[in-house]
Amino acid sequence: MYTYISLNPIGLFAHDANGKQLASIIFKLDDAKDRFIAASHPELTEDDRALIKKLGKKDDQIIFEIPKDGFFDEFPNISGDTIRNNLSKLAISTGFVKDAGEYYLYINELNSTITKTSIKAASTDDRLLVHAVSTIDELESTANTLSIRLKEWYGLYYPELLETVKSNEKLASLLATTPKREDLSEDAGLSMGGDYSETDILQYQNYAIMINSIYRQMKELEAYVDRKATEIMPNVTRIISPTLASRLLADAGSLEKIAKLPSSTVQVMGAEKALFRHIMGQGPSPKHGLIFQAPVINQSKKNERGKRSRMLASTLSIAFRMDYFDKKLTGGDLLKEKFDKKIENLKG
Amino acid sequence: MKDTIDGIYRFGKDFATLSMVQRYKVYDEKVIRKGKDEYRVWDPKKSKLGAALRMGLKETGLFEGAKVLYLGIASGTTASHISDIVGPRGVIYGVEFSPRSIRDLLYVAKRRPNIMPILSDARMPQQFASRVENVHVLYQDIAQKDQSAIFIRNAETFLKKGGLAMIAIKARSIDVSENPKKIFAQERKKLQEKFDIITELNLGHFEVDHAFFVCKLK
Repeated sequence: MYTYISLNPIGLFAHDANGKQLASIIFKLDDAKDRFIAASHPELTEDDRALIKKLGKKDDQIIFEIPKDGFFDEFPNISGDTIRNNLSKLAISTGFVKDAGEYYLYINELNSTITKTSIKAASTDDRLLVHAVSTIDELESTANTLSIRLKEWYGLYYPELLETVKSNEKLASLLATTPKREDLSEDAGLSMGGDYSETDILQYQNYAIMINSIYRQMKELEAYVDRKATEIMPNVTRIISPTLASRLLADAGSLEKIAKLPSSTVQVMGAEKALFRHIMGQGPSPKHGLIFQAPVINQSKKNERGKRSRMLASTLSIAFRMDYFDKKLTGGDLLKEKFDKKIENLKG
Repeated sequence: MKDTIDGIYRFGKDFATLSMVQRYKVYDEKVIRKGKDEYRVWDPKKSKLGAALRMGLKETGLFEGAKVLYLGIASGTTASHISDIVGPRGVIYGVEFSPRSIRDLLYVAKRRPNIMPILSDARMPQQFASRVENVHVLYQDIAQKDQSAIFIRNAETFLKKGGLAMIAIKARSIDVSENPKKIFAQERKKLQEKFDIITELNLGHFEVDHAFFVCKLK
């Protein structure tokens, strides 16, 4: 004979195969939350043991509804089905709460608490990296937009400088310290730009300081991303650069996600446009997406790139899985060795 | 203003619910005040149930005091209207897989204690079954390839006898390249194995390539 046990927010219940209740443990409202959370883990709790004891020394096979160490489980089982059909009434009839209002306030609090704990657990380091990578991209595009304005604006005053300083970053850092044309060049007096006052020039300087600080923060973030990527993806970063590794991670969304992706997806990540064009039947399949940035691919002969991309993607998939499931694994070196050998054989 | 469907009010072509929480907006919905009452206008572009109403949905199975299991509750836009309909005596068990979305839902659930936020995978009812009970209405809006199978599994486990089950099906998450009509036909067939289909709607321009089914377990 079988005995079925189910857990719910008010306690633990045991039923026989016909749905007849055999025994129960009802929590106290004050400590119900903790006892429920404890009992929902696979480890056997005091309450689990107490219920089994109540059932007596029958030779019944005990079947839980959730995984429990040393027991069978079946979902849904008859105990859970019976209880769930009648739970809020049961909460009142067993004296667990005095009315439905009190019961549902408890359920709201219980679920909110468990959810908050899970949210905390989901805030892992790889999530930081995903945002840092996106932030770098956004800062770069912002700095470019702002620099266009700086050039046009400063061009009114000293256009000759723009001919010699082409880089946005250099221009911003230069004007942040020395906005006056007299300080920049001896020929400044011959400039075709307008003659502006100190106050006018101060506006350039303030604006340039702001843009310059965006570039500075980008640099800092890039260094941070490299450090962080090496730390959380030790195996992947042996094969590709930390920058590329974190770009791939950001595209997938999290280490868990990328570890669970097939390597054929990793291969074309970032080439979605071409991929969907292909799926719709209007183009060749893309050979590589983001991984094209790896020198092993972009510095190789065109006719080898497809093969190399497949090899790199499959190697990376294994590395991402090592990093997600167990960082202590140091298979990255071996993986890199094998990969290099494969690439070499391809040449021969 | 007429009460056409249980708990849902009409203002011209708009639908609205009587707010359970005064002076508290959940998303940036329009609010119509009538004396002391606040009616929150249901935005059909932000809620698939809202869109279904605009496309002619007549029966939702929702009523004051109903128990609802909502799979894919996200940040609670649609759920806030369901919360208005079922009221303080009703309850919504809201299952969501994304920690980011449910973070927003937690604040909604604080103001609306009839919403129970559950961070879990709808594909694995075993993980949240001990925190829910059987319900009168199942509502599912998850963009997954196997959404029909998930729907059937949960309905068989948690839906009370005679309860209604609603599902919004996104063709693009089942197959991006297939014709949506073909996909809807194929999903309809899957649903018909276990359900009688009461209503089938296309969500039209409110949600492109989406179908909406209201079903009853056989």
